[in-house]
Amino acid sequence: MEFILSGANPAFANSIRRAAMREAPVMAIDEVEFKTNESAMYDEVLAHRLALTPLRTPLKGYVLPSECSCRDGRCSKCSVSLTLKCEGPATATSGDLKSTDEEVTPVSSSVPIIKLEKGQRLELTAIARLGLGREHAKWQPGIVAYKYIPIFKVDGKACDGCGACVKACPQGIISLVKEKPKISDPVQCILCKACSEACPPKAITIGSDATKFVFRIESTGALPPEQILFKAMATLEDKCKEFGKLVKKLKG
Amino acid sequence: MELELVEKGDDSLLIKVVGEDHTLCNLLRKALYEDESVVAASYSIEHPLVGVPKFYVKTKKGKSPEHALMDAAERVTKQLEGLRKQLQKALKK
Repeated sequence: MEFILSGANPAFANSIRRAAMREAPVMAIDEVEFKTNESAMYDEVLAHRLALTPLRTPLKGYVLPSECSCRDGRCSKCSVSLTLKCEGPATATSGDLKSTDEEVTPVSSSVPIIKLEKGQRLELTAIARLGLGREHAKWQPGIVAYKYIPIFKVDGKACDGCGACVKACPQGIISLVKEKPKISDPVQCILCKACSEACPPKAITIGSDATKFVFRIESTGALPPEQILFKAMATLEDKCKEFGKLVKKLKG
Repeated sequence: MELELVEKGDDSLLIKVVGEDHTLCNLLRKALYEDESVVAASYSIEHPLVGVPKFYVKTKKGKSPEHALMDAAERVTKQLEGLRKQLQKALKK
């Protein structure tokens, strides 16, 4: 998902980015119990691979283990158990993980976990829980990044309309209009400054607009991108409200 | 989140924001800059992993630093609320 955030400042944009990557809870495998592991890999290596397999996360129904009344993180409100049973010759994939909740399943069924030779067996039970990206990367719902919108300035007197900038632009978004360069789509600009470097009379300057940002959210598939953004904003809002209340209390 | 008072002057305040990080502190710091009665606003996190942010605010014109903080938090909340509603609208389409 891509969108433009305007009328903001860098701190605001960065807080949204940080909240989206760190504060939106998703499901990930947190504990693995191996019954049989005759594969070439150690238990912990497999556990690590399993943990990094993205799982679809339902929006409602589960709570963070720290907020659950059960306290041990094993009840049906805060955990889902998944089983895997595979015998070689085969490649165990994320699709072999059988979940007890049909809403919490691997996003893709083709993530390879381990290749098993003839006669090698693998059997395990895994527990998936909700968690936050601030704790471990396996709970990051995706990659959130932003960039500035460029301010493209041409010194009309210095520009001789040679077109060197048109050729230099790797995105191909500069064209000559009445012998003066113009950017057709500022969102496509990657701020590489190739145009200003290629310009013989140095007539082009590229600045960045610190109030407008092009955001890009790439989800792992655990949550839809708009939900990641929504959760991020809601968490930030709650944090600000709580902070305000605490300051009031502090003042007495 | 918890707030701990470290130092309190007539027009300045130093607090510890336990359980938070740059996500909230930087947002508030920038929001405080918009307030004309705020002379200084800053924070520091001494350790990137286990550090607790210390937040400093200094004000003038008779506005207390606590008041400035509350106003800043409210401004940001309103801004976020507006954005959230916009998003909700866009998603319904």
